[in-house]
Amino acid sequence: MPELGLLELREKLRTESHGLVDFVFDVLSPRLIPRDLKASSESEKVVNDPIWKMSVVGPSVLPLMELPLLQRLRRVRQLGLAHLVYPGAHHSRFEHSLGSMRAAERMFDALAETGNMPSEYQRRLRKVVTSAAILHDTGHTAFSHVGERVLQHALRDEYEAVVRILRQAFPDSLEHVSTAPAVAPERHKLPAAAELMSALFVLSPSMESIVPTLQHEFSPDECMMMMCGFILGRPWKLRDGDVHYYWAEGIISGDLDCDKVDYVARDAYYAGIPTATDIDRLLSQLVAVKARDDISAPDLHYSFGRGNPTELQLFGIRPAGASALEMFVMTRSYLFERLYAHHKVRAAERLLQRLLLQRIQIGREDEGWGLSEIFNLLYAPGGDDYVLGYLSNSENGHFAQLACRILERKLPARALAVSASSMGTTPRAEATEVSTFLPWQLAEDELSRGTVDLESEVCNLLNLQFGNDIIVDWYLPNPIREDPDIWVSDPADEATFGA
Amino acid sequence: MSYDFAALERRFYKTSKQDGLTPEVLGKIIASAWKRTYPESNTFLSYDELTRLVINHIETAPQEVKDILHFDRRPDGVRIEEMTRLIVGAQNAGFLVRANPQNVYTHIKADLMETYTMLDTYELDFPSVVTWAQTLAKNAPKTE
Repeated sequence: MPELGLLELREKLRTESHGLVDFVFDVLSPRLIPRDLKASSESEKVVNDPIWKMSVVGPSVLPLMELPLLQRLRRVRQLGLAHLVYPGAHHSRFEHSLGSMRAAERMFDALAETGNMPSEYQRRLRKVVTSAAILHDTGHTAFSHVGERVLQHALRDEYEAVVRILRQAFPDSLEHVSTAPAVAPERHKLPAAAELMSALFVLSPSMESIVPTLQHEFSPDECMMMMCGFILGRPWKLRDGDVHYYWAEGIISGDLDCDKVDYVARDAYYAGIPTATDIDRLLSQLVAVKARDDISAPDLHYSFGRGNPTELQLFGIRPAGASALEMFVMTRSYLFERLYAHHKVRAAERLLQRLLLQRIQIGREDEGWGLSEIFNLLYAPGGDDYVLGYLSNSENGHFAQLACRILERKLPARALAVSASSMGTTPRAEATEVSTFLPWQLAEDELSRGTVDLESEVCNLLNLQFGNDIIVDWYLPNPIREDPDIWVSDPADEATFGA
Repeated sequence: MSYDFAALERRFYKTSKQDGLTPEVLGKIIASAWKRTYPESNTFLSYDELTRLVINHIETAPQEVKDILHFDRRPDGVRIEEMTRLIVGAQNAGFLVRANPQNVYTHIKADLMETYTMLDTYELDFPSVVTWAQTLAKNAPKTE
């Protein structure tokens, strides 16, 4: 359970975030979550979607969907500039948010049913989970991850302060019941900037006017804290009676969460890349895996009873769904190679990232830019196209030129590609020469950290203009983690682990 | 007004140099240190063994290591978020060869000359990390 109440948490965030939280709470949130928004007369809506077909948007989500906070996402493309390479990839963060909500509902229903969750608690928790699902991406800037990377660097000190407080305010849900050595809060991974912004919007005073209309059955303060916890991957109130429903954490933030389930299917569909992922099969095989104190489970670091729950339920999948899960992971990897890390997409995004960061840095150094101007640019209501249009009309010819290159798809062409083998060394060859092996390793180390220095040197050597004429790119590490936190149920007793 | 955009970008990223430790570099250092400690062995630690080893020695790790590693609490123990990057770093460099699944042993392919060269080079930039990795290697479980 969080150690701070909502009001105390807000105060602490305001005090220690160097003005960031003041701006988000007092300026940005009121703009995106207006108090005087007229509520819809409908109690639900039916939405058609190519991935999930017909979905019902219920009363715990509908008022959120109508906020400028969500509507802005209609103009933020899910895949940044990937549409310059895959012309169909124009889908927005808005439809992805709706899709994530639908995925979360289905995942929750499957897991709650197999875990025999009491119906009253199930009804209450489901509303919070679906609300958190649709809000999880509201912190995204224009151009999705490109804008996010720029924001993360531009406001690094401010975000680190916010992360420090949120990590302490939302302890890990297993912290008090685990018998494994404690993990200090600072050892947990930092959430990305967009996720933090989503969390701040949820905690903002403006959200207080909306939450009571969502028909939640927790108090508004509890509800906001719970939604924030889910978005950060640190939920609380996952215990009902003697059961800890740990699997609920994985629905919004996990190795097979609603975000990944939706984007894998959606990105492949809109990019026109055929994949073999069977989402229906995957979701139909989800199961709450029970780890009980009467079962011998030598690897389980969990303290049962003595004030702790006597049953722990884990996010699991039936053995019959294991192949669908493997295919899902393979598809993610395939999309990474073919879509997210496509060399032309990366070239376009590098150009855009350069444009945004240079604009912000010049604004800060020469034009007195502060938080207001940075957020006005990256959270413009008009989204991606507005920001590009604005920059293409810039008085500074350098910015205008860069923006026009993106608008007209005049992307950098690949002039030189190098790999280990082309440089005379191979990844672990039978007879690699140390004379080529070592320089390659060191170059790889340096380039993976950043390319500004090499880019600058190449420009000096060839008398080119830095920031416009040349881009040095280096491969992106594949973000897929091994060892996912997903349990395969025991085929002999599918609802029991360790029997 | 004309700008020095390279300098501008460096100021934006708040760095003038690119010499920090990364999970991939740490993976190469650990694999090199292990090979130097056990020159006769071709079997490296499994994913789980390496995870446990690093977690058990994290308190004595230099700050550079602590800064780049993050932990994830699971019902069956603690995991290192960056473990995949650590191993893949060494794998991409050609030091390690793995087969699926992850609980099988990992073969180390780096030869002694490479590992000595790499460790000596890394020692110039990360002396305390190399020393710590050598301690890790000495405390590693036997693999063969």
